[in-house]
Amino acid sequence: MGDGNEREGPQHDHLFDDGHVVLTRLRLATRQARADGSYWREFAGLAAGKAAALCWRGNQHIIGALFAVGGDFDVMVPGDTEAPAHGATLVPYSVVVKWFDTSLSTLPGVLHQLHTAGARKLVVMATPPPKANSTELLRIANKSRRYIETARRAGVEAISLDCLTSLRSRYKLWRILQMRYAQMAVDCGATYMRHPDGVQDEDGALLPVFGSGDISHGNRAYGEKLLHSLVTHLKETAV
Amino acid sequence: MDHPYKNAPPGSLWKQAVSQGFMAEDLIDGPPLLGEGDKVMSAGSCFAANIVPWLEGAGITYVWTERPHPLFAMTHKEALSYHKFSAAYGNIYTTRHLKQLMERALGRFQPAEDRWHVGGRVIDPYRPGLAFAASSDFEFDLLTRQHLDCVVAAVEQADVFIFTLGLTEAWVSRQDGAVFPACPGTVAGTFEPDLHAFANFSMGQVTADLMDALALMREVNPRLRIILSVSPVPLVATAMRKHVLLSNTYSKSVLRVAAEEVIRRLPEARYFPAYEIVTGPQAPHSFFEADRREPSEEAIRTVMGVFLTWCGRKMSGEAPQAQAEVSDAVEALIDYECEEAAAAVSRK
Repeated sequence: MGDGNEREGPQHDHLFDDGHVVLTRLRLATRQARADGSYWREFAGLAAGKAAALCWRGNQHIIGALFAVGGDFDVMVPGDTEAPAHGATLVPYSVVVKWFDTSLSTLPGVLHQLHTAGARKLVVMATPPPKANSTELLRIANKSRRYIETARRAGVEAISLDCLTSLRSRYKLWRILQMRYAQMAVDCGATYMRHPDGVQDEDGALLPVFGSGDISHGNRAYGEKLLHSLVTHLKETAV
Repeated sequence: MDHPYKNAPPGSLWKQAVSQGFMAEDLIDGPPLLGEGDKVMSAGSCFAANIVPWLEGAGITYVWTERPHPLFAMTHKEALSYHKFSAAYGNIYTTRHLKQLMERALGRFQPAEDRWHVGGRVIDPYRPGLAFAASSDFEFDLLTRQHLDCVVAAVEQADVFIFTLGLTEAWVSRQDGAVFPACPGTVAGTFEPDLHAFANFSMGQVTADLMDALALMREVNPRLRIILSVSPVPLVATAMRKHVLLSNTYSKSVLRVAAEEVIRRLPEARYFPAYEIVTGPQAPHSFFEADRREPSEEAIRTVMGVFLTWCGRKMSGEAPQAQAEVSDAVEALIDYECEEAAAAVSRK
């Protein structure tokens, strides 16, 4: 997470302090700061002796699979016992894991960097569940020249509800993404913090009251719930 | 003095047809192999995979029923030849394997040894080289059923089935005779002498298996026409405890005779002489690479040139255009979303 104005330098927000847990947030990272690693070096510099919690990307499942190019698909998440959706192409779970891993490949390096910097504890936080296919989602996509252009390159001339990947499929992708975060956290000596309770509808979609005005992000209300979850997580996993 | 050779058709006499001025196009015999608009399905050995880009390049419709979902196409790149044929069956080297594939697809045969559990993955013994294997028995059953349904769909959609016969040697299950495309333990699985046996199919067996396989296919699609060829690619190895050159001659001879037997029996079947073009004594030394096993680009071009001429088509010489990838645009969009969110936060 970071801001868009590098001339101001990295900014810290004081979020929480109850005498036991003090939370400071490093502002959202720009693309440049992510690409040249300066953001994570700054973060590592702050992490010595503290618990470091991060979100890593998190919207690949939505944006990477927003448009239903090539028809409906399904994937068997380990533990699933329900048959695939009728007419959907079943994609091997191992394909989806590799699909996500291309965007997660540098996360272990960052966690190692934080560990080496002396972080007392590492937490990989869940990323928000997908938003439901809705007229609101459609309105947001159709407002954006970039989404329209991406849709065209995917063979979609006009963005409509019919051309969006089903929530069912995107929710499965999100579940697999969270499993990958959890596994990578364990592999790197970190803990995984699941998403806050009470933010999803019965289909697993992010409730509109917690959605920002774009395709994929949570809003301030979601952030507050995430914050409280993190405080609880840190207290429950205190060393 | 009159005799049958005096008025023999062109091509009957070796001296004129082979020793002097051989032209591969002279092998063309009969009406076009493909009709206008024919949709083609194919299967066979590794040589058979080479012809598909040429078919499509010449504007021939190739039947594809099992391709990676476009959203995951950049990731789902399969090993070996699994994504080079109409459905993801990979190389089919023996007629017994073709027959078995159809029997499984139609629910008439379920091999006793139908999966191998290796390192948390569930491996298909009949597609042992799949790079993206199933992760559970539940998923394995679903993926296998999806694959076999795609096999049936390919047969249903095709007008013509091209099959290249590759081998007579195979490894089979002692339990029920199921044939493996590769000896267990070579690509995946474990070789167990109690479970696995070597077979070198005879001409009678190859012919019978091919007739049965084609009968099953025509049960699904009665209008399906057949083109048979024999792969010119020699055996990579023999299990016959004799020189591989001898085993190769046996195999290719059996396959060639079996193909001839089948086209004699089935009016809808025809033979295409890829084997003769590449391996006949008239073929130049340059038709094989230095290993004397891999057909050269020149050989493949010559074979396809004859094939396409026989279909009344022109050879483009270029592979079909790859579909434009959307992955770069999606990556940019992911970054854009985060930049927009970052900018929104910084504006507050």
